[in-house]
Amino acid sequence: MNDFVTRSQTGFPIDREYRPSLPDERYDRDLGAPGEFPYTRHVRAEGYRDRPWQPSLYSGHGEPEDANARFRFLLAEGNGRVSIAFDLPTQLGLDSDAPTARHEVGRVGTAIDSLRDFEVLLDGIPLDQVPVTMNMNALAPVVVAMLASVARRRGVPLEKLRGTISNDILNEVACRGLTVWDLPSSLRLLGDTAQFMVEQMPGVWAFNVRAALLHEVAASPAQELGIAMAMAMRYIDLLAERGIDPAASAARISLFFGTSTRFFEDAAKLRAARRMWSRILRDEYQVEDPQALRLRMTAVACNGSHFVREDPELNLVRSALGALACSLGGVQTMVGTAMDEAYEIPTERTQELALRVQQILSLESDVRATVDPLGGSYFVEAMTDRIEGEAHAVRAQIAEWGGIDCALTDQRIQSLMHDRAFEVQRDIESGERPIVGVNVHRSTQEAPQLTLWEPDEHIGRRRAESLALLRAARNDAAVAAALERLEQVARDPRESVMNAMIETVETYATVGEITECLSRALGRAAVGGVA
Amino acid sequence: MTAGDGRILLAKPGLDGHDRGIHVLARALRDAGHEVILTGRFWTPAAIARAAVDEDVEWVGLSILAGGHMGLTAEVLDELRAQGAECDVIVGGTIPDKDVPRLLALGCRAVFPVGSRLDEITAWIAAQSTTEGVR
Repeated sequence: MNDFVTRSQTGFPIDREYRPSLPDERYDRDLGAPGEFPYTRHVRAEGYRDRPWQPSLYSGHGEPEDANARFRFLLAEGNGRVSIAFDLPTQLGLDSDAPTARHEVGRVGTAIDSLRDFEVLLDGIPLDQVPVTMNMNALAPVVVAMLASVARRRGVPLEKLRGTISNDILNEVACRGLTVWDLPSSLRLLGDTAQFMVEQMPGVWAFNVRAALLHEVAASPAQELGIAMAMAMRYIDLLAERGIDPAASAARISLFFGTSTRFFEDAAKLRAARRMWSRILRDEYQVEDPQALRLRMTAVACNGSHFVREDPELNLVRSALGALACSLGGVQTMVGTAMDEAYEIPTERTQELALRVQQILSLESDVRATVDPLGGSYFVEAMTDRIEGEAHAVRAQIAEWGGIDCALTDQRIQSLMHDRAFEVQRDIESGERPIVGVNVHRSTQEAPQLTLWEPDEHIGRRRAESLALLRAARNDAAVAAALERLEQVARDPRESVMNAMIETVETYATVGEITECLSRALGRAAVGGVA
Repeated sequence: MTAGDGRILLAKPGLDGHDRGIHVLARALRDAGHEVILTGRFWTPAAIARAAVDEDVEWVGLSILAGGHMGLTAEVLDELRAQGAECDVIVGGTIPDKDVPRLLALGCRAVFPVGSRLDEITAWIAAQSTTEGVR
């Protein structure tokens, strides 16, 4: 136990838990002690007293060696894991030399064209010690196969790997649009990936449901929570259809929430999330295993959509308030947005500062001194109850719409978000929603010039050269045979693509070749043309 | 065509999937009386130009939040010229300050980075039609 964290400024020890002094039925039923059902206060009895949340900044740009260097930099500065951003061509299954990939290679994530790139990406990262998080959705089976392959080649048993993959196609449909195949085919691939992970890579969680994306498209806290819960339950149901026990799935799903500067309400949302999760799983799924009932969460220390161009230094303050929301809400890992978010992907410096925000909160403040310091606040408990209630109403509405698949295919969720986004923008422009430096207290002083990340204009050429070398060096017959087998397996919905996928990535088939192969089997919507 | 209500094609070129901004802008422009045609995601510059010609729009608005704005805007402008379109291009998205003059130099009429106000964009478009008269 860290004495500095758990002692007051006058030197007396702070208690692990502050609770009603008299027996309180409501406390036991609706809050519970930290680490006990319904886990409203925290999933762990000790909360953050013995160890803080894990900073888990997300990064990736340029070529794999560039991303690798940034991962190592962040690990050295206090990041707790490698969290990988892939570029748009990779996420959409396009090779770096594809015509529709030009202008986008390595631009908002790192370019991965084959297993060789993935090996470089994780060079020098001990996979049995450092968790790996991947934001990959449509192409989840490909990167999981690559991770499995790299681990095996390095002699790391798959059971020793830790981390998570988003594997969250429903949020792509709802918010972000990076889909390749139609929803049923996508869900089949997602299920194959998740099943493989639950069975063979159980320490790497199969789903990270990105409620934070819903936040980015203007969802309210209750909408963010309700829709994300509906998505999480859909993933659990999907795996149950494959014979995987809901408890086994639930223990390997995390939810990734957004936060804003309204930290009390956002902390309440996170508390509501834990309670809602445990109750749904116990009451609707008859789950009893505490591992499954304890919702582990990630959240971002203030969503990027709240960061503005004006006075970017003030975005650091916004990230501090977001970090406060996350920590008061008891998350397990915390992503950070950099102050230059409105301009570019972050630099080493702006990511370092984002880490320092979390470190100041962790080491200098007393947010970790006791578990769930906001517990018992009349305000926060009322907000927690209210958000949970409204989130249940959102979930019920989704059920009325025919379930989350229908709600998305019928564009109901998307319409809801578009309406809210318009209201938010209107409120900003009327001044009803104040943003300091933008519509109130506009600075008269000039902000210092930011040193922004610069894209590499030669990356397209270099990637094309790498691909040419790769294609020349590999065994064409082996590639062709593996792709043929993969296509065959993909055509049969009762089969999992994963074993064939691992064999295929190991022949150094490219991401584009694999995607084309799956598209031959599954059909696809046009990319890069008239939709 | 009367001032301020010219047809507008709002497009997502390239691979960027973020469409909150484009939907919000579409609504504001429709409320201001414009006929707005909204593309889906993943449109190529050629397809955007073709639609601009087919729909006989006055404005093409490009929304790009994934950094490819220089290359994609240049291609859209080239395609519009090649296809004989008679419309102007405006661009919005995550655009660093130094790229604003570069985009204007390529031939965009205006750049509206993240945080630009809907009323500002709408007023700007209306002002262009007033000063230019009927096309």
